[in-house]
Amino acid sequence: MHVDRIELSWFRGAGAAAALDTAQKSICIYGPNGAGKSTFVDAFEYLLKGGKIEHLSHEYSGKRQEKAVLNTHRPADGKCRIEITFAGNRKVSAHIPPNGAATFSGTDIIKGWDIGRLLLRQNEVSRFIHAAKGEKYSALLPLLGLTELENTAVNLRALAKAIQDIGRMGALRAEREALLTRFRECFGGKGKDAILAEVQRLHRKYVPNGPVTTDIMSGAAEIAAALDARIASLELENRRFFLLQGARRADCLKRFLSVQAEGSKAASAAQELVDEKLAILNDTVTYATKLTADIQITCPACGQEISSNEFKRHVTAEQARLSGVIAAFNARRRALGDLASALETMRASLNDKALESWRAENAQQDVLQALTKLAELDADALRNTITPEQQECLEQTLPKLTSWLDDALRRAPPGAQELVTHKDIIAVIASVDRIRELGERVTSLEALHSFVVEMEVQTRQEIKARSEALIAEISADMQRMWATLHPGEPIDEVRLYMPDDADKAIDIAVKFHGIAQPSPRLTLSEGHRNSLGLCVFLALAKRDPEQSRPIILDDVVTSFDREHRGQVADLLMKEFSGRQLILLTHDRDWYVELKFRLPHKEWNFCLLQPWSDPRTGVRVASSRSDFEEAKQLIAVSVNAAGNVTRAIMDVAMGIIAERLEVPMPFCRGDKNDRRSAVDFMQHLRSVGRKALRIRNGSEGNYPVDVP
Amino acid sequence: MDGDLRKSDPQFTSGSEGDWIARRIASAMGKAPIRKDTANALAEMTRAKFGERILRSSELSELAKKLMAI
Repeated sequence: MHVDRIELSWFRGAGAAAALDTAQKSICIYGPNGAGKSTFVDAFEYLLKGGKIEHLSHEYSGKRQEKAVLNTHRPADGKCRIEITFAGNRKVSAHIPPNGAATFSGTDIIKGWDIGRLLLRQNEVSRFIHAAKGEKYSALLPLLGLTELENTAVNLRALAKAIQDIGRMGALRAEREALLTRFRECFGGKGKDAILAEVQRLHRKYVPNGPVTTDIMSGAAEIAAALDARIASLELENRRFFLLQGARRADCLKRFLSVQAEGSKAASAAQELVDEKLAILNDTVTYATKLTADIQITCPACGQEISSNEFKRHVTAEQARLSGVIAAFNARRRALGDLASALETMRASLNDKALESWRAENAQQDVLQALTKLAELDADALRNTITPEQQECLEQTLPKLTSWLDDALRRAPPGAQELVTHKDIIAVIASVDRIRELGERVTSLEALHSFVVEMEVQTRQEIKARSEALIAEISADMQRMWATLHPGEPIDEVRLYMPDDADKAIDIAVKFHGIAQPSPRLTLSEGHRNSLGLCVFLALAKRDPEQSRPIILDDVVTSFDREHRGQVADLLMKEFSGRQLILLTHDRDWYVELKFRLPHKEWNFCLLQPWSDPRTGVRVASSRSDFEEAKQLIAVSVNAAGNVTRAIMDVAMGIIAERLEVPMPFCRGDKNDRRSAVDFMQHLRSVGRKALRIRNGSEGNYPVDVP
Repeated sequence: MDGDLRKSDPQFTSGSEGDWIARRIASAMGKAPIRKDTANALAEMTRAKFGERILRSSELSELAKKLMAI
């Protein structure tokens, strides 16, 4: 799917009409700084990203980047438009109105195109090298085609958490543990036979006329019924005892203290987090509107530039971090629920009519007041929250009531305590079914939970295995490309690797003068880092499943010296023959060198004229600036032919002078780039004279005539 | 447990990525055994829902309930 033509109108630096023809070949475009080269690149990115350009994602560009995308000096009737024609006259276009709400057409042609493998800009060359291990992983994952696996792993982790929460695994385990503890307290290490013997003993006592029981559970059920009947038939004094016992066993004071403890834990867990989250929330609100697919945003948590998908992963991580606080609040809510239930039980017992006269006879005045206060409390409302007034009320009443109940229970009527003890034993035996049921439920949930957790582990292993295989292939490409760019240099064995100490991480290793380095940032110069960044990009581009897509390199050799720039031409010819490349550069010498070296059968060359003003916009020069053009011009205008020839010579002589190591004096401003062939010739002559003098030992005795 | 899962089980071999899901489910079964029908259900969910995007918590709750009900 080669690009044939890019046409722009009032887009970015383009005026009414700017067109770039490639004739479906690779193309090298030269333009001095500010000539508008990147306008073409921006147009490409705008279409690929459905109306977004990464470097324009900032607070000044407007919601739809309309303040940056539309030419600032377009006339009132100037329509902003992009159209890219691909091979087969297939067109993709965008019409961008003043509000930036673009309408696109033909985008199915570029659907699924991965910009990370198609476009590299100057400022992005070393970005990958400098990124953290986790960022490299996130950046490479989609390029490795493993996003689906990563999504799967994230969803499996969340699913395991959902099973834990919905299944109330923690609460079920706690309930089972409490019942087991009671059972052990009651029976210690006694076996089934000993428990049966105890049941038979109680059965004889409370069901004397029944047949001897041989089944623990049915025997316990009969005893429980007999005990209830006996308690119901007791005299008033004994019944009062059971009511007081019930009120005391609700243990409101203990539950109230538990509420206070959990409240304190929740408060301390929340305080720091609340401050932090409030600050984050303010930033998040600003960025929430930008959460569309594939845009770059600044993460409010860490301040780094990340994609919106990565941001969502951050949010998921934050939610996980919040789970500790959520657990603390849940524990407090549970404690409140327990307290509310206990209060209801205690009040029901103490307000029983059977206790009315007894209460009046025995309770002190302050205890009666406490009972009245407690009666006014809305226990149901306590299940959600507790007010400072309610807290104060409970602080004042519960210790008094507890102490009063303890006092009253010490004066238990004879025989009543024994009934309570036996009732407890039977309740513990009856809880065996519940313990078993809870055990089965917890085992089943734990098995499911462990399986889902293991499946996440397996998915991560799958990601790692696939990544390593792909990374090995990419590393082989990188090494070959690096060797082309840096033949014989003592930096080699460049490769991607997955560190053992991190789950979601990728980094780059190099060998520097024979010593392995875990990161190029330790020893490599900026130029070498950029060179490595270019190799990484090109290695990934080479892995694009669709090799007919173009690769765009926008000013990517800025920090390379001449020698390495020359190697880039070799690299492109060797590795990307047949692939359409769109190179943009502001380096005139490199442009000319490429023009000499790259095969014209596969390559076109194009010049952009220097920028004049935003209304005129980007201008593609009509001249091809080659000897063929000069030859054709001779018939029309000798002067014009001479001008073209001189322009070619101006650049060619610069390259020749540099290869001959002819020192050129430094000029101010852009004059270094505007030297003419005559300047070079003069310096070449001067250096030539000097060299010959040295060689022959005397001035004036030249073996050849130096002009 | 009602039998070990194998890569060749037909329920795990459909779809272009069926192979890796089958392989990993079978491997997970070796480390955290579970009933075959539950493993089938998780394999199906993985195949149909988990790869496309990160799911909302309400969607995950529904899926968790389905698995717990098996």
